[in-house]
Amino acid sequence: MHGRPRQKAGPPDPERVKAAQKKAALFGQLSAEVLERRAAKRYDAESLALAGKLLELHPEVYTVWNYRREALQPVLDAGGEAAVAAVAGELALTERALHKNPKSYATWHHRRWAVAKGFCSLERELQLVGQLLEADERNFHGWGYRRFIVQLMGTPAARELEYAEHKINQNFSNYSAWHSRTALLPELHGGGGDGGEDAGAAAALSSALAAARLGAEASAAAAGTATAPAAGDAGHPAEQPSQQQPSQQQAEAQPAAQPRRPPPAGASSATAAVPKEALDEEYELVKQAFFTEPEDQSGWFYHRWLLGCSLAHWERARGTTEEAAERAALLAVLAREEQTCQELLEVEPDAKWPLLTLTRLRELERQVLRSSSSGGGKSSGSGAGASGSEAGSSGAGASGSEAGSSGAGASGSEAGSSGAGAGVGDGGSSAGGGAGLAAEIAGGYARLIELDSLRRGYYEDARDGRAHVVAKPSAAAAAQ
Amino acid sequence: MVHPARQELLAEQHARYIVEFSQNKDSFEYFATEHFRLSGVYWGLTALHLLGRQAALDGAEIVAWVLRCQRPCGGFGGSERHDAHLLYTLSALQILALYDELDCVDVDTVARYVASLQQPDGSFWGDEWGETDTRFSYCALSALWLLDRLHAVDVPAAAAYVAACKNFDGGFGCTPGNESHAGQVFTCVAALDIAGRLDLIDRDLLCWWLCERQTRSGGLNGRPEKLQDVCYSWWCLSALSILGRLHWIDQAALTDFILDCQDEDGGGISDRPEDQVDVYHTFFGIAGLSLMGRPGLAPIDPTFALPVEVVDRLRERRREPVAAAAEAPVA
Ligand SMILES: [Zn+2]
Repeated sequence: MHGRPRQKAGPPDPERVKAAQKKAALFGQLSAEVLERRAAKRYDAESLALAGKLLELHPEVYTVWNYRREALQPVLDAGGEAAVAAVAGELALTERALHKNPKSYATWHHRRWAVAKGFCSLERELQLVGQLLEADERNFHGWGYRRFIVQLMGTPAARELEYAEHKINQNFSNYSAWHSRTALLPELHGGGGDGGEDAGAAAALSSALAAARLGAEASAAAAGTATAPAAGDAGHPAEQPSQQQPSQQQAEAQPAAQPRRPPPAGASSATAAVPKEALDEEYELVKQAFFTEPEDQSGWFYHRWLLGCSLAHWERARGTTEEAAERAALLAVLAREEQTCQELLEVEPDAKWPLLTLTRLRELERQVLRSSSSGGGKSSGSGAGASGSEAGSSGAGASGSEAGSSGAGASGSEAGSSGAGAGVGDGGSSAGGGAGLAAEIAGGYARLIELDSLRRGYYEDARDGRAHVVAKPSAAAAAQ
Repeated sequence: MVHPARQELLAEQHARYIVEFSQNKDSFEYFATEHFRLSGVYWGLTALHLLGRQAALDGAEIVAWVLRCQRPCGGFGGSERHDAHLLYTLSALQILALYDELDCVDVDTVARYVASLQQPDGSFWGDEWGETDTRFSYCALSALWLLDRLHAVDVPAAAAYVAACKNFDGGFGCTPGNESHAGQVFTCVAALDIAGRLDLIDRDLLCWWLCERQTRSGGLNGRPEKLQDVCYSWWCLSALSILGRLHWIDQAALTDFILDCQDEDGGGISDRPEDQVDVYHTFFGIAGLSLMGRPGLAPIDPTFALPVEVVDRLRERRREPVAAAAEAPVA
């Protein structure tokens, strides 16, 4: 029970008690009637109407949805006008039930089951779920259902990406929409981009698996049906191509759906697929969110993911001829993003999110600088390494924008003073810049502990090198 | 600030509330909760165990009723008149484990039912009607562990499917591509724990996301920019506990939030202060306090959501025959 105010203690109002008892008795009778008819396998119109009435009142009673599916399965298998009418009935009923409870798992599943039979307009479904997400923008059932429909329709990722951007522009704190972008971007760029051969192959595998999963989902939704509707089946004139989708994808799913396949990459690890230019556009989008709603965590979580993507480009190039270029590109991104954080901190010096992000950017910077001075890269990396070790953080600034580096230094030393000396081992391999960065990082976490004491335990672990949310532990620390 | 009457855990009132709720068979709630009563009984009973008051309910009567909820397929329905489903199959086994009565069921029949719901991609359907969700992956693995029949399913495939539901924030959704949610995070982390694959988790990233669920109220929410709610004391804390990061949230602040959700008059715990109480939030509030080591409460196992004592008993019993079998060829 969520969000229902507590009744005040004291003698209960007899009228209320009477009304509650009546409601209980009526509901008990209706349940008994429906479950008895179910047990007797009564599939007539009157019985199904009673079942529908119960579900409108109480959409989570899964057994009664099972009852309806049992009754309607033969009708849908037979196809024709009767099947079209039956699906329309289930869509109307689930719509009323979702009005009562938009988070009912059982209702959403029933709708998928009905839709997967292929006797209805997918366009209309997309429109309806769009309306639902206008009213209830974070409903994850709704977002999941939208993905289900979009995949059945074969909508290109680019179009859904536009939809996600539309939802973000409506409200920057729509975390569901940001989440959606993290799944769609790798999909969109899966086929090519500058992802390189490995990334391209991985992305192709990943989209094949996505198709297989979709097939599995559609076939799951259609469970219990002997066959998906055949092409050319009478009674669904408007949706010919879409209707065929489930059965086609089911067929495609067969070879992929073997046990013991390597696990498909989760969105969190499919990061190198998004090209750097596309990432730059995303950094720009999320920057607008920061300046509109700096306190909202949605954009900041998204930004952390973008940093992971940028980092992945550099990591993929390690030990190749592209390493120096990727390293410079990453340092430029870090400098630019540090500057954004600095700008926000100038407006609101105690803002937690820009401070946390700035601190993590410095951790990343330290990781990049360290890696070059420890000689991990090939010869081409040494030139870039020299410029890094020369000036540490200001070197990063120089490769990006001029103004950023001085700003970073200024506030960094300010923050650093409060927490300097909180021992962050920086391996001793980098020059003065590394030590400065270490102090800034320690100072950042010290300030975060003051600003956001609920998460003190996390900040302490991060400060002391026991937690790594963006930057990776140094080789020395990892070896310990 | 905790309400003056709620500074302590009102153990006596909560126990009375649970017992009275389970005996009031005329209320609307009684009918409205019929389809998931097995879970309701599991929540109430486990809460009573944690409070050390399990004797308040008649165990023999409950076990007999649980067995009446089993369907011929081997799975359990939410109550006598409802269809078999993995959710209630797990609740049934958890109740039987609490009473040390798992021997009352034919273990292989139940295990076969669970195994019949695994799909080629490693996922699990909730029942024959095909709903796929990582909640069911947890139900399946947890149920099979209780039965000591994990090998009845393809555990690596089950773990791979759960891993495919991992998102950009380190959290997990109900199917691949779906948004992270703290409830789903618990089921996925616990499922991977049972499968022995915690290495598939981005531990620091996920735990940071989880500790960001704590709001200024001290309570935890289930997704970013959502309201705090007592039930997430369990969903978030259990995952943090399995992953060894309980200290990433402010436990004192969370304790105060849970205590303030108590109803000092009728007993029970609600989602937020001054809301109506229910058995679900009463259990998850008490379970959260137990995970944080509150004195006076028995400790709860974060993976199986059962008292540690119950899980240890099952582990002990398994160790003995295994040791005997290992010695056999030598002798
Ligand atoms: Zn809740």
